[in-house]
Amino acid sequence: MKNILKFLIILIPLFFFSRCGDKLLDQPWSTTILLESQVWNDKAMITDLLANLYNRLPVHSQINSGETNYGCYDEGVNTGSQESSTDIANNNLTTYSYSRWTLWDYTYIRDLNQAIESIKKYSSKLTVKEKQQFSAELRFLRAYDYFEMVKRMGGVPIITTQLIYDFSGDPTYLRHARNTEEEVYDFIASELDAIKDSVGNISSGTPSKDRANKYSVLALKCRAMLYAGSIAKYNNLLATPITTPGKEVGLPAARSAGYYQASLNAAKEIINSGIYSLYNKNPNPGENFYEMIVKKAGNPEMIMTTDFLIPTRKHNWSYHEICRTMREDNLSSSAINPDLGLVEAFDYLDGTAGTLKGVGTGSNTAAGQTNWIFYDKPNDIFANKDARLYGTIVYPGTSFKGVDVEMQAGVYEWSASLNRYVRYESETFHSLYTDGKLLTGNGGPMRISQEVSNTGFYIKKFIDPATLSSARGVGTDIWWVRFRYGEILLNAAEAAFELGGANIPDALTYVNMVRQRAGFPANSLYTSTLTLAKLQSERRLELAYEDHRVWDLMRWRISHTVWNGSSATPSANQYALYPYRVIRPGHPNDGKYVFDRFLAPKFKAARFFQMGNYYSAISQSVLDNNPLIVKNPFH
Amino acid sequence: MKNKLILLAVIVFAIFIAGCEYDNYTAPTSFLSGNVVYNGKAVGVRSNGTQLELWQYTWDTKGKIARAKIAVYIAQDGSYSARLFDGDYKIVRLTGAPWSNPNTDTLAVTVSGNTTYDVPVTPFYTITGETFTYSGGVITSTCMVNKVGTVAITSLTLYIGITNIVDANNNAQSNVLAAAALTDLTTPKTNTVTLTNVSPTFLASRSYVYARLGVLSAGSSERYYSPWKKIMLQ
Amino acid sequence: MRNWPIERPYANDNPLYVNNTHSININPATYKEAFTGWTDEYTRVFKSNIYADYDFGFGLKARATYSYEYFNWIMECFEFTYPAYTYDRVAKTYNQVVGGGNLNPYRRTDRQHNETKYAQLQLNYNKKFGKHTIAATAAYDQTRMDLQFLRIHTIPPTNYIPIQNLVDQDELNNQWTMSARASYTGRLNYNFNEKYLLEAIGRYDGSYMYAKENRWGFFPGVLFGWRLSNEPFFKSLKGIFSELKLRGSWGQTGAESGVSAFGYLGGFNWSSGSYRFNGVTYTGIAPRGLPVTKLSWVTNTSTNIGIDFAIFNDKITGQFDVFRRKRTGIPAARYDVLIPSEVGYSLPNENLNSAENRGVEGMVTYRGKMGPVIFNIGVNTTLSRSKTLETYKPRFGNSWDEYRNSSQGRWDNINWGYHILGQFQSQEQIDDYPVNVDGSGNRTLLPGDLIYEDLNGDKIINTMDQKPIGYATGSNPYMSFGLNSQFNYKGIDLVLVFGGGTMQTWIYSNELKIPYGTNNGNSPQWLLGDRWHRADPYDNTSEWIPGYYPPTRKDFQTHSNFSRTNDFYRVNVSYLRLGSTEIGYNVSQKLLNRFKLGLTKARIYTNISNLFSIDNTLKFQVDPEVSSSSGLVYPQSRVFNFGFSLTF
Repeated sequence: MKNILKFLIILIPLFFFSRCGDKLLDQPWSTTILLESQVWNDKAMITDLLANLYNRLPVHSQINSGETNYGCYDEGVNTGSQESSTDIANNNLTTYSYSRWTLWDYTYIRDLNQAIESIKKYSSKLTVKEKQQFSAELRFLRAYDYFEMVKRMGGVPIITTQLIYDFSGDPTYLRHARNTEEEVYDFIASELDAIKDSVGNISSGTPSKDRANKYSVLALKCRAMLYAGSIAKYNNLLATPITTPGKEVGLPAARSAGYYQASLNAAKEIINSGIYSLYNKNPNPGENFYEMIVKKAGNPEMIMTTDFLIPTRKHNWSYHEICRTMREDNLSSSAINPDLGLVEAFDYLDGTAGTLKGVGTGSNTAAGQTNWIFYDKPNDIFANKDARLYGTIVYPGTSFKGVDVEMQAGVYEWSASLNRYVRYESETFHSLYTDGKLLTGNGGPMRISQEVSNTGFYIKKFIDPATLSSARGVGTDIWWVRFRYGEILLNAAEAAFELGGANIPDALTYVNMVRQRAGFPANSLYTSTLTLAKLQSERRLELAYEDHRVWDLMRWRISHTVWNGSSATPSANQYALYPYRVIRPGHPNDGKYVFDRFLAPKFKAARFFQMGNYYSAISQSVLDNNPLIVKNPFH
Repeated sequence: MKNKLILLAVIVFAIFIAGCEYDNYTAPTSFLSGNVVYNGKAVGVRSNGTQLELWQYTWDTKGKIARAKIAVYIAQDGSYSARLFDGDYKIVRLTGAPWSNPNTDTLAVTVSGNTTYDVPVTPFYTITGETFTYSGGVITSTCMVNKVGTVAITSLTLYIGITNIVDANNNAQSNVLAAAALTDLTTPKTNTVTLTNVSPTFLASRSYVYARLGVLSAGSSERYYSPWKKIMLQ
Repeated sequence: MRNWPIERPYANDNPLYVNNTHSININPATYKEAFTGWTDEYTRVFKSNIYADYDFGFGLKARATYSYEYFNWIMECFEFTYPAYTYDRVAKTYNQVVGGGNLNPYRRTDRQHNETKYAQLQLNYNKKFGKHTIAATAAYDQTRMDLQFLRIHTIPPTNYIPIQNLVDQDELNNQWTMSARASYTGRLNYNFNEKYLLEAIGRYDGSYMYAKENRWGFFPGVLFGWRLSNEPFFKSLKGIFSELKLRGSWGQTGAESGVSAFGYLGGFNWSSGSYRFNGVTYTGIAPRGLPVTKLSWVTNTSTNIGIDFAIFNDKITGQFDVFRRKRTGIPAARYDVLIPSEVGYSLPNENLNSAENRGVEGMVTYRGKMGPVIFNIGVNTTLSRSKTLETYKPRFGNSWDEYRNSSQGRWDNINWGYHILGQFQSQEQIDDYPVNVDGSGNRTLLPGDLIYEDLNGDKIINTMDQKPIGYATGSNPYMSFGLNSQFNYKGIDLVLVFGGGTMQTWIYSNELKIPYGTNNGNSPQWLLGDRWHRADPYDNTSEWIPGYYPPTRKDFQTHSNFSRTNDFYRVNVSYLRLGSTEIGYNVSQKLLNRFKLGLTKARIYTNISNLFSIDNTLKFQVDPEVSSSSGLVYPQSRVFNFGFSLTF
């Protein structure tokens, strides 16, 4: 008896410490899951939900995501790094896949619709105004997402309510066909008009730069309507317009003028509000253009940005892209190197075309050296160019973050026996030649090594001037620009130009404002010199690296001629410009600099955009799930 | 007992052998091949540039849905080939090719063993009577361009390449005749290319190059090509 | 593999100055604690078991066990900043490289503690009634584990003080998780005269992962054994078979798969994404989507039949087994009904698919005597391969799609790739070749490059030209075998154990395939040595000298040789490894007595593990059991042991 007592005494406390069976396994709470009832009546929680939804806006090439895409078009070459061994494949893209830009993310649409409906249904503790404001902000995100989808896919099904499957076995009531491209653009316009005044987020006259407000709504409308207008016009100017029988893709030409007018009206509302202006605080136009992006305090140009904050939310754009010479970490840097084609697109301030003068062919023969101009300093070749070049790209002979970039590919030494200059290069940083002076600089460029420029240029735009911002441990919090006043002016200029007639003076005013900030004299363009090509070029230079290039070329329907896959077409290929120091003791050219231009050494295949890329492929599983969905043409 | 042991060993060995193959499904063995033809002649296209679609329209049994196409690429000499299982298929001529596209016209074909089927198309323009000559560092081509459809012509280009796969994307040099020179198509058209000797192809110092003509019209972004010719330079 | 043989770790070989190599963080000169920093990990575990036994007396015993484990893990790491130098040979000075060395200091603390509580109550009953023996067991056990994790990362302002300050803080990561499981088990054994054996088992398991309705699973099992050699009708064969036993079993166990903890809850996930609004960072919450309520245990059913035998007076003994392990209830989506993608969610997983692994294994041992040498040798082999049995209502778009993607009744892990016909032998052959091998009109090809097989004859190489090219990679070999042998001669004993396998595939890639790797590093000598190359590397008109590997190019990692998985870089690995060799000497009793130390037994021995292996990966200098495609894994080590054992 005693023994059984002893046994039981030991037994009982054991089960005291734990629960049994099902109770043990049932945890009604989790440390990381919030229930619906805890969210809809709490403004702070709804704001957190908005944070998640803003963060999920579709991205293509953005400074904190999709950086590899910068090296896929005509804005740069990928130099390769020890960390991202697959990016180098972007230099050998023989074609763009038909599903490269495919976006069919209805989970995001559903989350937005669910939030809109739930706030209406469950948020009893919020005031009517608060509910309207959240609802308007969610509808802004939804309209923005539909814009991102329609510019990639053409018409998509417009879903504005939660679709819920009743598990009955028959899903036919859930099937929605694609709306036409026209219907989607009209939906975006009507949504934005409806929410414009209730979206709030303007406190004491200052609109929020992070959250949707009346002006970011207008900016989105301005851009969307401009896209619609140019697709309506240029798609129908193609020899065979791209269209489907059900009009899922292809806008009617007759609507083009209406869209341009809507875009111009939205732009004028922003311009006339007087709230925004071009950033012009630095008298040096090149530095000014750079600071327009990186100086956040009192920046009057930004309408909507995706912002960051050290240390809670930061990104590594500087770590990946900073000029090699001033990198602050022992890995990475210089992932994307700007292409010479972009550098030469920047015109000279006197209006002449931007092609650089006195450049050799890099063949290391006498014939390749006949055109050389001998420059006193490496940056002389870029003298008097559009100041936006200085603010966007790091080029030889300049300094950045207080350090001279030291870009020199090698030397050319005069050989009397061969009667020409002979080239020497090195793959060692800051190597010295036999004459004791610099052979290859700390900033390269080099043909083979990774993590240094391959083209002779580095990106400057969006690079943080703060110390140690390019070290992984610290990071950078430079914002990503969604809408800014410079773009609105260019949108307005283009819309006004396309409308023609009495709108031309407006177009000239707007584009000249942008050009004047770039260092050009006032009124640098007149009616006779204002052409579509000039406006297209202005967009390319002003908005470089801001995720506009590929969409602009697509909406003008020229991407298949600009990137036509041929190694003989300069616009489809990426070029490098290497600076060299001249060695010829006793001769006046000794110590001067010459430049060679050739195909970027790591660039392997010309860019090739095909007709089937204008509207991306819809994935087979989407087609299988809904037989009403019509495929896009050419796939 | 000994026999039983041997039998057991044999069974084990048999199981062993049976598990040796990489895959226990049989691969398709029937080939559907042929040419894309116009007027009995195969139509030259850009390699990896145009495709036909194959649909297996009697596939809708046992819940299988014939919703996915098989993409069949047309080789540069106009031939196509696909490795399939026997069955009934239909061929659809896809847009993005140098011929007019009757969208609603599909061609039914039954594949059984090795089957040949020539797909008729109507190109916008054709090239006939092409000749290529070489002398003194210059390659000259002459040909007749024939208009078949109603679409305007854009250009006629002579491409010189270093491998037999020559087209608008794979060439070292080219010479373009623009639309202005192609208004009268009753006379032969001539293109000339003077071979240069630049890196990396060094055309003039090679022993042979390949030449091909391509005609571009407003109806498509792809060209109709003549057959290629290998030209010996030395 | 990133280090270049042309760079020295120290500038001018002066150990005071670390050389600023092309990638300083892999310079071996920095692998010193005083220079680079340190990482310390401490694991402290406290385990306690309490148990109580009670014997009721009539064959019934009870046992209660309680176990508490506390696991504490601390990781502290501190990486310093350090300079790097270059040597100026002209001026004979060492120059510190601006921006070189490490400018990115790092200080991190990770702390984790787990508490695991386990309790079990077990009842056992054992009784023998004449020739019958019965044993029965019943048990209940439960486990609960709670885990807490905290990570703090700061950017240290000095290389000396390891204390972390809020001002320098950069990251805070906190996790709390729990898991709990319970089960009821019962077992019944019956044995008649050591001739017939029968056992039945049942388990009723519950897991915290699944929704309440589907939390528990019942898994029974049954075993039988029949000692044929003890049967009366067997007496005639007793001369040959000293032992013959037939056995078989069928049993089920449960496995958790396909669901994450609390998958059955809807709502929102905390801390998913973040965004900055008006100067403040907000932590995002993400909608979780549809809860997974219908998912339950995956069932593993094992069936096997086997024979144990001993013949010729126990000279030969052996076992053969045929087995099958079937997994049912593998999670998959129930898509008889196709929901349009525009709904924004897909139907949650249910237990629908099944797969199996079937095989044979056998072992035979021979015991013999050859003069004074006594030995036994045993060989064993296992052959097993897994196959998917069925998937839920599969859908394919055409017969090719079905062939390529179906897994119904198909071997698992089929390795799809391209077949290589050979290598181009001359530039003219490349220029005239009608198939567009590299996608760029063959303009990037040189003699020695790989010729892909154009399976469907369309003169283009794309996914339609893929075929199965190998067995599973990174998985157990389908066939494995071994040989154990032991020899005794007087006092010396020798044990040799071989193990091997075949029918496994290794596809090598990265640094072993692409010259200079994908990260500007080094390459093995066999890749750079035995290759196609020009007779004079400075003259691009000199003739080509053939080799095995294609010509090496720098900076063309996406070349057609490398960009597609093919069977040129594939090895079907077979190996036989001498896993263990042991030679020992037992000192004879007479000698022991002479020492008068009271030793009853003394043995000295040496043991070598992994003495050698015969395999077909030798030329790659890679161990045959390494499955990593870049081979950058520690191979099996070879260990030499010497020892002795004394018994007093």
